[in-house]
Amino acid sequence: MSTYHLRVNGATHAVDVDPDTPLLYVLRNELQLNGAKFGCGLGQCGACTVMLDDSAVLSCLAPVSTIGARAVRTVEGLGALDAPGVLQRAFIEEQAAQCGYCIAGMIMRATELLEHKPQPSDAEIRAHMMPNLCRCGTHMRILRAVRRAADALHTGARPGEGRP
Amino acid sequence: MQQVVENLGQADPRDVEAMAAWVHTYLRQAPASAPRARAAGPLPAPGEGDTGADASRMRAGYAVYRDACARCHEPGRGPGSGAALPLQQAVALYDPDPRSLVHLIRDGIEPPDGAPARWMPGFAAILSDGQTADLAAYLRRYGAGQAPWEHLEDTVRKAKRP
Repeated sequence: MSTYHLRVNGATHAVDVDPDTPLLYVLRNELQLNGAKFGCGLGQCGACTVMLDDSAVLSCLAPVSTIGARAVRTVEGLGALDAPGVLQRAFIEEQAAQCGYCIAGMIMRATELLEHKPQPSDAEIRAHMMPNLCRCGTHMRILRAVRRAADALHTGARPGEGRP
Repeated sequence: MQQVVENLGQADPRDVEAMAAWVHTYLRQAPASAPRARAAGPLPAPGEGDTGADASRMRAGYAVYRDACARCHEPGRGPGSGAALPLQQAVALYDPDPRSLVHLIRDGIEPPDGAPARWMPGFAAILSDGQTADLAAYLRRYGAGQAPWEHLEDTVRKAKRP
């Protein structure tokens, strides 16, 4: 066991875990941040996607020992129930979730896209979201939600304004 | 790479011969008789006696290997571990040029569409540049037993260019 100081959603946490513990397990089991999900544990599904500095990473593959001082951001850091972030609001408005298991990862993957490319084309959204799987098959609604969030950020409007 | 092979299968044989000759001049730079790969099994931790100039790099590289790679590449680390290629057998570790290994660590391996093939996740966003270079240096010595690669930092930096 070693002690690591992790910066998560702006707060620093000290955790005592084995060095090869995946970041996902630390978030869920030590910090009770259960947004990121355990899907496959092999880096194949994207349910565990979180932001590490300015990149989306598969947290089931990221050993806690490699994180260092880099900033971790999870879906919990984007907003709250009464004040959802732009992407969260867009996902709600498009009713993008069916079972919802993949959605936190989808939103963090989309966060990476919109931070690097605020006005993506539909093709760029598709290509960027490719690593993340939804086994309910709501990919079309998810793509619409990302489009809606990008448009909202572009016009400066809150998502949902002026749309049916 | 599979696509390259498939496409070259349709190329003019004279072009393929010319390319083979050129690649051969490059591969000849490898040691004439590379030492045998280490026996299968876990890659070793750098010992206390390892006091070379880059001993701290070897320890850092081993930590990355142990925490990020061994879960799949080494038997006995956990459920399902050891399913991936034992790294003593990884050709990229023996290449006189580190670019293939750096590319593999960063971008992983994508199977071709619709065909079962080897797959590996990429670690570009998980490992820092320094961790990637440390890992490559460690694998070069403790996986392949080869002379160190030079300018690993440059290789990692260039690999990031789109």
